[in-house]
Amino acid sequence: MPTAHSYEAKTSLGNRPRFLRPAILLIFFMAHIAVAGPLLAGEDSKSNEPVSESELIQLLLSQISELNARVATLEAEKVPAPPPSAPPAAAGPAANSPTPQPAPVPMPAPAPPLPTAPTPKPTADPDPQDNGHMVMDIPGGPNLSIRGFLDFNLDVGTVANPLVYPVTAPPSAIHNGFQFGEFDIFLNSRLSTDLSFLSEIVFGSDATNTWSIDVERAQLTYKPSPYFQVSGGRMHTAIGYYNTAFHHGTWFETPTGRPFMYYFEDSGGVLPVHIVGVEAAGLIPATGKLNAHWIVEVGNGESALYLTNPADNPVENFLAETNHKAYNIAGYIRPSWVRGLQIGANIYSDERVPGGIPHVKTYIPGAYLIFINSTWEFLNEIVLLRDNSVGSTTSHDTPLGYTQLSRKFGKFRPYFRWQEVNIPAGDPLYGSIGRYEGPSPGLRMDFTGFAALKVQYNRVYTRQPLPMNGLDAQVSFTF
Amino acid sequence: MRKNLLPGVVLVLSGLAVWAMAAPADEPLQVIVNPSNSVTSVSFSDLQSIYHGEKSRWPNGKLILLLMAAPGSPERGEVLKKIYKMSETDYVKYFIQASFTGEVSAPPKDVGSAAQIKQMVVSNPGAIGYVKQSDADGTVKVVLTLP
Repeated sequence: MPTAHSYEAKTSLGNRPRFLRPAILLIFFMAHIAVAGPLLAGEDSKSNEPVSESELIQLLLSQISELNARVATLEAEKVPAPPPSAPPAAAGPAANSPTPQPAPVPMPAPAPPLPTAPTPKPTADPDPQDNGHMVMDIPGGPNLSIRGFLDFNLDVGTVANPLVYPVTAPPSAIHNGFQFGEFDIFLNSRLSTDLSFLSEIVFGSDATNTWSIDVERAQLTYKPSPYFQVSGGRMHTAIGYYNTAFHHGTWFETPTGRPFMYYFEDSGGVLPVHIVGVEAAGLIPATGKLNAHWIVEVGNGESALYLTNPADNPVENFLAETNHKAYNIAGYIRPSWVRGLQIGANIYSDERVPGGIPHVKTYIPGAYLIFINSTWEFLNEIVLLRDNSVGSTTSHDTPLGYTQLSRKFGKFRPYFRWQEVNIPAGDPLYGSIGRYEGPSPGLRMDFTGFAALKVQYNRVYTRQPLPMNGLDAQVSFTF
Repeated sequence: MRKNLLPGVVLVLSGLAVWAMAAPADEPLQVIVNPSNSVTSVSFSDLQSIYHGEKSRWPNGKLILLLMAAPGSPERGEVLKKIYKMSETDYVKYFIQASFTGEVSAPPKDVGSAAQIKQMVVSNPGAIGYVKQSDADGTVKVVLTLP
């Protein structure tokens, strides 16, 4: 076994540490190239003649000027074409250089990039903050940040990853399979200091295995002050907490999916989770450490025709069915003395015109209490969906709610959710959906900062005598 | 025999150097703003709101530009621990989600060194950043010293 002493005897580099020797050899080699290279690159007739110090300096200066000209030429080739509106720009330093273009000089090795002065970005925002997003920067326009989300699932059981109402009607046999989730593209752009735009475009497959594209959100927001902002477009309705905190990127969510109560309308969901219209919101002045906020929304409301015509979309993106508009008023507090606590409430109202039956007036009051910090997550929401047929004195009340608790242990986060949707059979719009309630324990593991593996068991009680079960394994990530 | 100790000594010294670089800053951090900012002091609670993106404007209406020390620096580690109470991963996720919900249009801007943070604070009237006490000078205004 060689000792350190015997190793040193074999080398001419003395007792320097072993890891320094290659570096020293490399330095000698580079120094040799640096000194001899220019000489060797000179004329052959001079290669065997003794060179004086002044000739050597002249030769080196000549080489430097040639290299400078070469760099200028290369930089000029890299300058992009100017935008049409811009004045004719210089093609680069070489274009204006009085020095004629030299013949290409063979480079013994690629030279390291030379430091150049930073070029200011010609954008609307002089100081775009692009951390954490891919940013597309086309000269002359605002920055566009892009982020994507995707999830894959392996399902075993009837209610493994229920996403569509009725969850289990007609009853299906126990099955298993792979499922491609939502391919979600999130776009965000700041047009000016006060004006911003965001959008969420989802590519997804439905029960017919057909791909479709949905613009789930597209909203322009003007925020001149913390006390007032106004947004217009297609947004998530400020009903409860979950609907505005979690959208279509399942990676954000601790469990594998949304609570039953917040299923999307085109999946048979009973709440109007999207609204096409305008929203005003802001901080309530003089609320101090209570941090109270207000929200008012006016929009087209939810379609009723799609209940009898599945070809219709439940969200009235383009054509409002009635002149009546849906209204939602919400508020919440975020006390600064308990960071992570948020308590809020809302009331939503709409009048809908289903085909063949009387108009239905809908009221949706809701309340929530949530607490989230980096370790704990405790979410509690309850909403009452009240449908009244015009001319009838009978109200049909549907309680919807869930509670969810999780705690982080390093990369692991075990969680538990209990959820309930109980729609009375007499409800004029959703009576056929029925009742779903039950526990959903699970485990989330963030195996990198941007990807998570979740395993969730669902047990669902319905109005049928036997409960249903399912197990879902999901990989969700952002990119 | 002494020569046999050399690799061990180098290893120990390297380890100490790495530990020294990774150790939390001994000096308190000072939160700095542009001298033209009318704000003279910021409470810790307000600083948390500002750095979480919940407060995005100064009292004069100017947009706040949040500056963060470079990832891996001791100063950033202190701020993550004291202001955010988050890991680096949780911090990144927090701002992705805040951007996703529309509450925050952009996360804090990562800046490479204390000198660059000061330079950006000096050149941006709405900027807020933090540096070690020994790095703060007359070109910036100190509004809070983190314990």
